[in-house]
Amino acid sequence: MKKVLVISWFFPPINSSEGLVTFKLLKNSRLKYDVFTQKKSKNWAYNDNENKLISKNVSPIFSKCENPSEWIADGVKFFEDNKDKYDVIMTRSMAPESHEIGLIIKKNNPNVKWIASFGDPIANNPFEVLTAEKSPYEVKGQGIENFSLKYIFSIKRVLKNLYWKYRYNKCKHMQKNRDLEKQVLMLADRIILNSEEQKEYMLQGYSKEIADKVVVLPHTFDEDFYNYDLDNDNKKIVMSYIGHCDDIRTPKNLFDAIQRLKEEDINLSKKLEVNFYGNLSVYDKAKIIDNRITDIVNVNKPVSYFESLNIMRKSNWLILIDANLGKIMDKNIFFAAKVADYLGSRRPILGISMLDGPSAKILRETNNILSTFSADEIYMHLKMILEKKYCVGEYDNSKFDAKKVAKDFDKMVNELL
Amino acid sequence: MKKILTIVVPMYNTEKYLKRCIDSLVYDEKIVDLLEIIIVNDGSKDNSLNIAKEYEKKFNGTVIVIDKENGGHGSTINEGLKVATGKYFRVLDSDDWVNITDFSKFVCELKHLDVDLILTNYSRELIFSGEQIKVNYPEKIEYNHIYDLNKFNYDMLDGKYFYMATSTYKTQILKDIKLYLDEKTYYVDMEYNIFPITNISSFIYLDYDIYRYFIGRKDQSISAKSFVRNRKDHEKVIKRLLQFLDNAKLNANKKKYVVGIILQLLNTHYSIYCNTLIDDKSLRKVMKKEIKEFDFYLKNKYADIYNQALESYERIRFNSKTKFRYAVKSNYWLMKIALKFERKKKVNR
Repeated sequence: MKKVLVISWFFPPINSSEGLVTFKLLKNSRLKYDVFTQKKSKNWAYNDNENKLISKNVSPIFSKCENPSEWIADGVKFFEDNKDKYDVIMTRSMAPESHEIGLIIKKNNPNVKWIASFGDPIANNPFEVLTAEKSPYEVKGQGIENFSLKYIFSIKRVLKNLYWKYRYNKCKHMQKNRDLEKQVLMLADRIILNSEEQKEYMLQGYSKEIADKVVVLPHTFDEDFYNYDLDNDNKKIVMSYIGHCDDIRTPKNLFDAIQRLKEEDINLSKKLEVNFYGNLSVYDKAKIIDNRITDIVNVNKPVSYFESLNIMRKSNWLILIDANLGKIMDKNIFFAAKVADYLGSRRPILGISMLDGPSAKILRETNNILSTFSADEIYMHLKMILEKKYCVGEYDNSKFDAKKVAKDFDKMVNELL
Repeated sequence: MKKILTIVVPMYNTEKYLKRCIDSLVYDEKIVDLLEIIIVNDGSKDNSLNIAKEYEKKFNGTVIVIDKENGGHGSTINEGLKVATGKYFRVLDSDDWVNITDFSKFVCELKHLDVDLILTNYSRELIFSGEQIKVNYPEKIEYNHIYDLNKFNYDMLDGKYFYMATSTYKTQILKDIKLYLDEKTYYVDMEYNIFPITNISSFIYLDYDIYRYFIGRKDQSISAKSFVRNRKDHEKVIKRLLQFLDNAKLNANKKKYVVGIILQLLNTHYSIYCNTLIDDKSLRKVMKKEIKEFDFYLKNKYADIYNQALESYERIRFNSKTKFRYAVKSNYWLMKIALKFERKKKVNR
């Protein structure tokens, strides 16, 4: 069989969730891969990983492009120059330009089989919807502050609104993404999504034919990467969060819960150590100081992937914080790749998430602890954890084992051919 | 050991929340033996019953599970009350929970109390923002002071009343009045809040923030859509409370209190019909007919209450005056504009 060409803007050694997800899948597959990638842009990535992320069946090919728009032309050219080598191409969604390459290749070479793999949705991404700034002149959605009829119907307001939309055309950008995602879903031969919730969200309004092309493959962990001999020798109960936090995915309520714990039971709070590794917003950093919990919460720099796995093993508990998308939807459709790595570490998890969504479902199924964003509820769980009233024990994580998922992936590719 | 507090936990398809609810109750080992937690499964179709049974096994003697066919929220409280043996009685919905610190102190304090009703504070937990809104009674009501409810000045409550989330009753009182809540009906918590008042003489207000009321689920009975869907239940409860007002032997003081609550319910009821944007035109027509009929019923049968409602609430007054011309198709702003228009017309005349 010929090789599969994977086109992914992020791939190791760059330390990015997107690239690591792809790598774990390919490494455990029995097929051979060329991965067209780049190693210059570290936007949405944390530095480089040490050179342990290599596999015999995976050969990265590095483009010299520095921005995603040049990358499209370069990717198409690479395929056209080497098309005899490949039967199947697979593109990853972050950045969406990889899918644009797939789209062009598919249009030019209809016989090539194309697998479009999505991390997050491109169109209607709830994060983008949530962060999209509203025009202060927009009546719909009540962006305006002046509700007088005279102002609402004034030409001045209408023109200002149009100019604002032209100037900050995030809407246009979102429409472009919607068009791209639609074309990808229509033309790709197989679509990989990471959860049923994502499938339900992305395929709203699409036909059954499109749904039939979808294969749900969850994020994975790779057992080979863990040092299971590592254990926590700290006398305190160490809880760790690894990854990116921002204004939407924020630990502020966890910090409130820790503050209350310290106020109400100082001796118990002395048993707790909470470590964050990765980005934390300035507001959250300030909150640690405001809440006077700097003796409990430590903020650390991002770490390499292998170091993060070691930290997981050395922690008593792992913390998952999801984005609170409650303003716009009932469930969180995102499946954070770290959940799979957490499960691989076989450590108990305290998840702070919405009550529905992939993370919530997984945490329930594996008998881990799921909390809403309520500081009061988080406080209760913290007390239970510190007083050792929770016994999560061994859980079944086999569904997320990269070897198992890669087997399903191989089966899908073989069927496609 | 004699149980000091019975907590009835009505349960219907709440597998996602039940653990949190029960864990919060049994958190403190010191008080577990003092509690009787009766989980009443109201015909759940999910895994709630199995989870509840695990707790029954683990906390044998404290947790009791009753499994029954679906009969609505009221039916679960009726069932729980039948078997309750604790000196005091309260209800905790299975999607809610208690503040572990204050609950523990509260139960310890119950041992030394002998009053008919104990009021505590509660907090609303907004599901999608993680925010907490504390709900306290006005400062005029003193903590730890035993009040005589027959002489109590209800104006001190500033429109608040004894909520399910704040009230702990002496069990015997509920048994004495043969408390029976309507079955297969929503909003019967209002019956639970009002019916016991006939036999309550004393109450105390304690400075504990116990109940955590989880708000914001779309399928919750207090969501706008649920109010529209279950509007007939809301009407049924109002009518039952009006009937209670007719039949119960209440002194003037208590009567004033009950009327105050009914007026609030009427305001909500008229709002369901007059402040809800309904897409379905046929439903609009039906709802308009319903509210007109209800208005006619109230005006004729309970003229006093009707007049008080007109005086107290702008929305009721406005809709009555305009003969529900704007009912079921207007939102708040449209109604405000229409109200201005109506006033202008009046001036011109």
